[in-house]
Amino acid sequence: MNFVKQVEEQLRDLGTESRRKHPGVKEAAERAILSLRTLQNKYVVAVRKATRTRASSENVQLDGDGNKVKVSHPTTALFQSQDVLRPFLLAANYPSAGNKVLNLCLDGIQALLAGDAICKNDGVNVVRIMSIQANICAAAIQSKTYGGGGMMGNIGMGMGMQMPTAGSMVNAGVGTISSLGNSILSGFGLKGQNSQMQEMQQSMSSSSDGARSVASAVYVSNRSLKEDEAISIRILQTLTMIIDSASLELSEEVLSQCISSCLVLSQCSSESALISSSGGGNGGKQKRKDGGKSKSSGSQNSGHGSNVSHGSGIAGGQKVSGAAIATLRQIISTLFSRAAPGVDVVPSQEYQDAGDEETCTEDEEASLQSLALKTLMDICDLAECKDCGGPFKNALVGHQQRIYPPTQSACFDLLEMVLEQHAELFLNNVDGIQGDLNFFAILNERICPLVGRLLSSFMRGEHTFALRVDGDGKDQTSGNNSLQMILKLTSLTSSIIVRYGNNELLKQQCFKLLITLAKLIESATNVLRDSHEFEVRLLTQMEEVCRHLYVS
Amino acid sequence: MQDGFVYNTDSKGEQNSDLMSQQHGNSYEHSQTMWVAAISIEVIYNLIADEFINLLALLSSRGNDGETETLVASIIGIICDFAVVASSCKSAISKVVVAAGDIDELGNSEIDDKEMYGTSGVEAQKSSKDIFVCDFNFDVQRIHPTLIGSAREMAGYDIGAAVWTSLNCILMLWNCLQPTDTRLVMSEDSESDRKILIDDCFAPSLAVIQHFLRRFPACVMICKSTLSGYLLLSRSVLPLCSDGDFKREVLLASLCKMTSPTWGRDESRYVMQDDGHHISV
Repeated sequence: MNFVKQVEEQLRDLGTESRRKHPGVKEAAERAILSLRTLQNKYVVAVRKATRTRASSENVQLDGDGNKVKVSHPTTALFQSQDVLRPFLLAANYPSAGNKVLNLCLDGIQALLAGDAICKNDGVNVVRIMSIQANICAAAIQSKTYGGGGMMGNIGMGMGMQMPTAGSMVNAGVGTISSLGNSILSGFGLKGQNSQMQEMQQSMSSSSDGARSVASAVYVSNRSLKEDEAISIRILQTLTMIIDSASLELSEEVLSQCISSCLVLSQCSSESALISSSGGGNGGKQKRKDGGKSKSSGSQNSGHGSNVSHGSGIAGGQKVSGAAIATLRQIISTLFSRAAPGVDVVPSQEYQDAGDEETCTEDEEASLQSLALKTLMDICDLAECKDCGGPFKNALVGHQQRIYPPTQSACFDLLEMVLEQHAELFLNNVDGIQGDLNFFAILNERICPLVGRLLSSFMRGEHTFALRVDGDGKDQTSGNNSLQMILKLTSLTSSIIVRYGNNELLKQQCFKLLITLAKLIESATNVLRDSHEFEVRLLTQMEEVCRHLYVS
Repeated sequence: MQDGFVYNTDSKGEQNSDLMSQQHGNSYEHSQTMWVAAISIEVIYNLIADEFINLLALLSSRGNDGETETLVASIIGIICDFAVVASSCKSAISKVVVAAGDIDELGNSEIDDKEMYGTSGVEAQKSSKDIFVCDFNFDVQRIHPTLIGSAREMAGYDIGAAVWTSLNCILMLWNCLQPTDTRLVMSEDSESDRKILIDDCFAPSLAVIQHFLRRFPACVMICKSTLSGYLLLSRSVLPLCSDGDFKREVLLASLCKMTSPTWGRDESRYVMQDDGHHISV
């Protein structure tokens, strides 16, 4: 469908749908349609001009200074306008937004994203709205799945996990909303000017009065559990599109908000906490083995049917949390892809008529590399259970309720993904972009020693995992799941050795890692040798054979 | 057998119940150290199997701390030590046999082969050649940790699988060191690296192969694997040996020793006479 026609239809539907509840949105939608038509006229003029120039076989035109400028075919990026985006943001900003309105907003935002028709600096406003809705959806899924905050809390405790309560989630939503109001208004430069903005302000202030309004939005929501799950998945899709979009600025705040939304949604089921703490990495592996077919791989690890009454809800929560974990991986991966030096950024728009490629400017590239470095440092800090100071810190703080950071094994999973997929970033960045700080240095001086240190801790028995046998004779894990840790660590070690073992500068680190792996076997041999079952006579025979070999 | 314990392949059910009781009894099997070692062996196996050529320079390097051994020699030495020590008690031997595969199935297939050889002389001749085909069908994907989705499945891992993996790790290394390996299109540096690896890994590998052949005479799979090991060793080592090279002598001595029903108590006094093409004891 034609881009303009599609957006116009969505705007009209949105206006009709929110006519009664939110007249301000309707008004904004009507203004947006007018703006869209004006932009359409400009687009037509631009297309004619480009066609004329092409017909006269001159692809250049003189600008105001008399310089020759290449005339390219206009794209839908010409429709970048705050007026067009505003109604979607306004409507999606309401915590009580209905399923249909929210879906229309997400449709509209996704269409604009696909057409690169969102202004460069508006990305942050979109992710803030997504963050609000992610908080609301997560709280709603939790409360609907487990029958309210209290009950959910009990179940969480019962499964040996700390689960945020629905009420606290709601508070988080309110906190985000109240902080959002001014920023969006100032972002559009329309504070206090338009009636819809005033209405928005009113809604913000009434929301920030207390948790009541948002709480009612969650608990008396018209949305069903399935609708909340579907919206959650769509939010995650939108986040991926925002990070992918070359036309939007990928700032630290945008990244933080995206990470925050993913973490919130990944914690919306208690089972997902298990996945993120122990099996998230495996999910990722599984996804790779499947050729990326199953996005919500975490849900494959299901199998607990103990809560019969909420069985389907729990499965739905797992689906959302699995998708959130996969989206977080995707976001981190995209960030590093964009930060790779000299990578031509191809516009993602599907409506683009011409295939001209955009290339990141040096400043943008440097800023993206800096952001990727900060993110990598954060992941390393989290893997070491330290406080971080980059995008992950911003994603974790500023909420009234605690958002749980990714677990150690999840961090190692992210590190493995980055090291495997973006080896060129680590091998070609020896000189660094921020003084001594560069990707190679982080790998050489932080990641490799950290992995070696943690592997050695297994040799010394600092990590413990116990395997116990339950009543049915089935083995189950218990306690701190170090088994997952050792699997992650060995997998990461293997990736580092395979990818970087040939590199002269990293040879020594790879050497040490391999020796550490071997030492783990050696310590097992010593345990066996000390055990009562070991037959000393056989060792004597072996020594004899070896002696014979060497003497000969 | 002079080595003591002889496992009984017929009493499979009895063996399994025995294993079950031992599984809960042996504390070390369930300990973290064993798990970590088992996973490490698998990782090393996979690195050797999949990335040997890429990592040849790394594997043949020596540490900066003035280490005399190459990296691969250190690793193989440790794995050999583990394989021997871990397969030196009754329960472990039984578990290695179980981990190695279905004995009955392999036995039956051998009987079928014998019938076939009897009917056709030509095919028999062909089959006699097949004896010298390296045949260690170790499917690492069966127990690779990346395929293991949950800790519950990991619980099926036991010391037998770890020992079996370690033996196959050694065989895989020698398979990769084969001069006829099509993957080994080597530069001069790589060729010299290969020679270093052969020299460094020869002694511990031969010791382990001999140990397994001696300890598991009735397990078809393990016997096949160990004989393949001899074959791999000879293919890699013998072309590099000059007259009177100790490696040639030791390899042939080991093999001949295993063909004899008994080698006597004072083994070290027996010396192989390697006279050109003739070997005499």
